[in-house]
Formats: sequence, C-alpha cells, structure tokens
Amino acid sequence: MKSQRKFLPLAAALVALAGVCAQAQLRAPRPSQKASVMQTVGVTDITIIYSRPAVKGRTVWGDVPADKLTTIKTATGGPLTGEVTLDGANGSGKDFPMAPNGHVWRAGANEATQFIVADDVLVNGQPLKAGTYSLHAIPGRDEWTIIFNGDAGQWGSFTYDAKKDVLRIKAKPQTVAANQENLIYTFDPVTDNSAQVNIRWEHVLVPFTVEVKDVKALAVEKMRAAVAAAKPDDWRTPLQAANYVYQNNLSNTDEAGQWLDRSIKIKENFANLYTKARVLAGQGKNAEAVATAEHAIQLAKAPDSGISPNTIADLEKRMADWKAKM
Amino acid sequence: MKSLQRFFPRAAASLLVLLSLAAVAPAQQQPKVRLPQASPASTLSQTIGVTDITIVYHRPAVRGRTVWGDAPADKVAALVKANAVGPDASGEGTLDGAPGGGKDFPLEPNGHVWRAGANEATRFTVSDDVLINGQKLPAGAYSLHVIPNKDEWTIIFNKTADQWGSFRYDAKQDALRVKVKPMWLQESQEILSYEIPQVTANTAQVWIRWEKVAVPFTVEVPNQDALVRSKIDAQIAANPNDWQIPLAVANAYFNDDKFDEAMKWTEQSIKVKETFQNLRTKANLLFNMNRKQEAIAVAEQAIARGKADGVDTTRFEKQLADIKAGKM
Repeated sequence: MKSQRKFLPLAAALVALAGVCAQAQLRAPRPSQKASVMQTVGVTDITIIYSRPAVKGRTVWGDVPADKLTTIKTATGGPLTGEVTLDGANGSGKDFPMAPNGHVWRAGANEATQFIVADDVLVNGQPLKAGTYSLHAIPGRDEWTIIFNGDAGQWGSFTYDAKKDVLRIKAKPQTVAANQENLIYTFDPVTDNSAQVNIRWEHVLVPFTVEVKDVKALAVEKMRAAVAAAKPDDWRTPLQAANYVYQNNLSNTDEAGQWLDRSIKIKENFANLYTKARVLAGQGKNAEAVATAEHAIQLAKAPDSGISPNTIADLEKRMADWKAKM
Repeated sequence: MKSLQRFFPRAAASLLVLLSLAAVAPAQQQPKVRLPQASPASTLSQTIGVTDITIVYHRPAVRGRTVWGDAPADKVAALVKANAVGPDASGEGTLDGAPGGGKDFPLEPNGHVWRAGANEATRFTVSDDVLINGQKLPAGAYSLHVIPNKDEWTIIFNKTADQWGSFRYDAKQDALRVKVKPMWLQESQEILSYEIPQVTANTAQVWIRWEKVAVPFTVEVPNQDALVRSKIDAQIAANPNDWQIPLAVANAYFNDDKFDEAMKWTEQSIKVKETFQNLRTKANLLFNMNRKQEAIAVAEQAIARGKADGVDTTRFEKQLADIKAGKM
C-alpha cells in the first residue's frame, strides 16, 4: 500500500479495496494473510479471526519520537490526538515502530481482529457478554490495554470509536527470546473452564485469560434446550443429557430422571436401560435394578444389537452385586 | 473425564459415551448434546494466497502420563489376543484406548497409527491442490493420522475424513503418506497443539506439538499465480458485466506495486463501465508511474464522472488541488 498514499490516503484505498472485494467476493492474495483459531472451553467456542503481519526486519514496538508526533497526520487525515491509531501514518520509517506504544492498533492487519465468543465469559476476571467484537490493543512497554469493541466489522482501527468499547482490560507483556516472524494467536494453556489467549509477535507475548464461570451449569442449560428441541423419536439426546447429570453428580437428578424415562419411553434399549439400572441401584432399589438390567441384557443379546460381549459382561457383573444386596 | 469418576467408574463412564453412540455405528454421529470434553475441540485455519487450510482437532493433555515410546511387544500381543484392540494392532493398527495403557505403556506408542488428536480423528481440509513436503495432495477433506517414532514420523492423509479415532482407519483409503523428522524440544507442551508458526506467500509450516515433540510439515501452494489467475478468470467469466471485479484485481496488483498489471485491469474495468472508482484508480496509478499530467487529466475525468453519478468526490478534489499546487 506504500505507493497509494502518495495520492490517495492509505486507509481510504484499503477501505475501497475491501469494499469492492466484499461485493465482488474476489479474493486476492494479501501480504498479511488471514488466519483463525477456535477453542472450545467446556461447551463455549471462542474464535479469533485475524490477519498476520510479518516483522520483515522492521521495528514493531516502541515509542514514537515526540517531534514526529507533532508533524505527522493520521492515515485518515484527522488530527493526531491521544490514543488514536497511527497505523499507516505518514512518515513511518526506521525510527517509527509499526505498532507504537500508547496508540490503538488493530492487533493484526487488514480488518481489525475479530473476537467471537458464544456465551458470556470473564476476560481477566471481567464480564464480557456473548457476541462478536473487534479486538484492538494499545501496546505499552510495561502494560498493554486489550479492547473489545462493539463495532465488529471495521477496517483496521481507523474508524475505531472508544464510545463503542464493551470492555477494556490490562495485560502484562512478556519478552520472549525467540523472534516470532508472523503475528500469531494461540490458546494455551486450556483448562476445563478457561483458556489463555496469547498474542505473540516479534519478541513480545501478551497473555489474557478467558474463563467460563460455570461450565456444568451452562452445559445443563444447553442440554435442557437440546432435549426440548429433540425430535419425538430421538432417544439419544435425553439419554445423553441424563447421563451428564448423573456422571457429574449434579443436583437436578429429578430432571435427569425425567429425561431418562423419556428416552426409555421412546425406545427401550441397552444404553438407556443400563443407565436406568444403575440409577435404581444407586437409590438402593436393587430388585428393580436387577429386573431392568436383565431386560437390558436380553435386548443386548439380540443378534444385531451392536453391544459387545465385554459390555454385557460388565453389566452382568454389576447385576450379581445388586442381587447379593437384595 | 475426571469428573465422571464420582458417580461411575472411569471405564463405565466412557462406556456410556460409547453406548450412546453404539446404535448409530458404523456411521459416526456427533452427539446432539454438547458435552464438555476432557480433550476440548480446537480449530486452526490459515490462508495461503487464495487457498485455505483448516485443521480441526481435539486437544489431549499429558497429565503426567508417558506419551511417546515403545509398547512392549508381549503386552501388545496380549491385547490383540484378548480382543481389546483390533487384530491389525499386531501391525501398525492403532492401540488407542488399549486398556493396558499405563506407566510402561505410552499413550501413543511408536509404530502404531494414532488419530493425531483425541475423540474424532483430526481433520485436515485444503481448498486447492497443494504439496505436502513436496508431495501432491489434491484439494479435499482428509482425516489426519500419524505413526509416531523416535526418529521418523509418518503423517497420513486419509480419504475417510470423518471417523472416530483411528479405530476404523483403513490404509487403502490413504491419499498420501509423508515422512517427517520429529524435533525433540526442551520445553514440555501440556496440551496437544497444532500451530502454523511460519507462513510465506505460498507456504505454511504446520507444527504438531505435544509433550516434548514438535513435528513440522510444510503445505505449499504450487503455481500460485496461475491459481489466482484461474480463480479470477472464473469470477470474471461468471460476471462479465461487473466492473468491480477487474478493479479489485487492479487494486490488488496496485497494492503489490505491480503498476503495469494494475493498469491493464483498470482499463478492463473502465471498458465494462466508466465509474468514479475505476477512473480514480487509473489516476492514482498514473501518478505513481510518474505520469503526473496524465494523472491530473484522468482525475478530472473521474471527478466529472463521479459528480454525474452522484458520488461524493470532495476529498478526491481536495487531493487533486493539492497535487496541482505541488503539495504532493
């Protein structure tokens, strides 16, 4: 884009190009290529869509010399004040970093980085609603600001409007020995209820954490909806939902019992009777458990049941235990 | 799956999951209920030029276990005999889920096929024909399996894209096998991670990274210019009256400082229909080609066209004035 700013402001050229490309759906190779990463945390998907600028031997981080700040104009031709982006600013050169400290940066290239989260989460402990956001960053030597902005579809940070911010968090940059040539977003580590997002470029790594407050409650909430939406002949969905509740010792066992009974009512089979027998045994109803298990085994022994002898043997062994307790 | 242990013992818990799926086998069906998974799902996609590659996988964790190494031959034989693994496990068949996996039995034993992830086999999709470490792989969706080994891994692209683990893996469906040298690193990576640390205009380097191993392979788009060209031609052939497509091509070349190519496409756009946008691009191009007088003439033409079409030309007019005044 270097050449276009001689005549047409860079941002305008880019917007024109992006707009035209979007309309015509024409894809041209871009110097900063597009990438995305998605990570599931519990039952929640977090997606980051970005473009990957390369270092190419340039200075990425640092301060803009004060004297330069007074002479340059922003790419949009507007006044240069406060934290406004310096992306594509006239006059950038060797002593002018690509993503200067204290100024908003799209945290990528081309379109502003997009951050999409399917459910409400906590970002570094602060609530962020489910939604699609543009992600911007204000780099700093000792502290970065990560911005989740409600205007998700914007080119760069040129039209970035702080009034549309949904959340700003602070993150601590780390220095890494190895040079990372292409900007990269990774999710690492990932736990049962959280993922650390790492923004990594050149020698800098900036981590922040996305957390799902109560994965199990959220999972049950989604299961409830799935069971409600399940087709009348779908025995599997209510069974899976019930199994999840039992396996995790959740408190909504009455609801799980209804789901299980619904599954059995739709179609008695080894899978749901197996669960039923174990639930009954867990309630001390050993005689009923044995009767249900016998029925299950009978179904499993049908030639086309698809149930392996090992599985049947497992239930037979349990059944013997229950019988002993009768 | 730790949480399952409270109510049901571990084996039975995974059994329940299998049972929920059993009735639909052999067709693998995703549960409609979304369950939190011990090895959570992840997706990675990367554009190389105009080609997309996507890797969908699940991320197992080390959890203090032995990941790599040899499985004792007598144990493997015993598992085959007990029907706990498939008969082909005496060859390269998978040992995934073998009940004997313990301290002296690695999770992903050398010489045996592994899904290169967890749950479903890892899925590798590529939108155009590519080269994997120099070898041809046609556009398509594949399941990705690997055969780990100390000094050399085999990466397998299998045409049965959707399969659970490598349990039904069939070598006859292989599209490509490549050999790769694993790198042994100092730092342990707790959860399996696919990453693309390096990307160039026509290549991407994929890393499979888990525990202390990193296994890199390269995806290359051969003849990218021809590919881009053929896609553009197809677009234009499908939309012969669209002036925006050739203009987009022109702008792409312009971005790349390829002025002559850019001019050719701009002229093509103008031929379809004269607009403020394509005339403006032409003016910009001429200016960048140091043909200032011509640039000014075309810029004036652009402004006239824009005004006739009701386009806001104010900013462009201001720039033109600056240029005329010698400010740019």
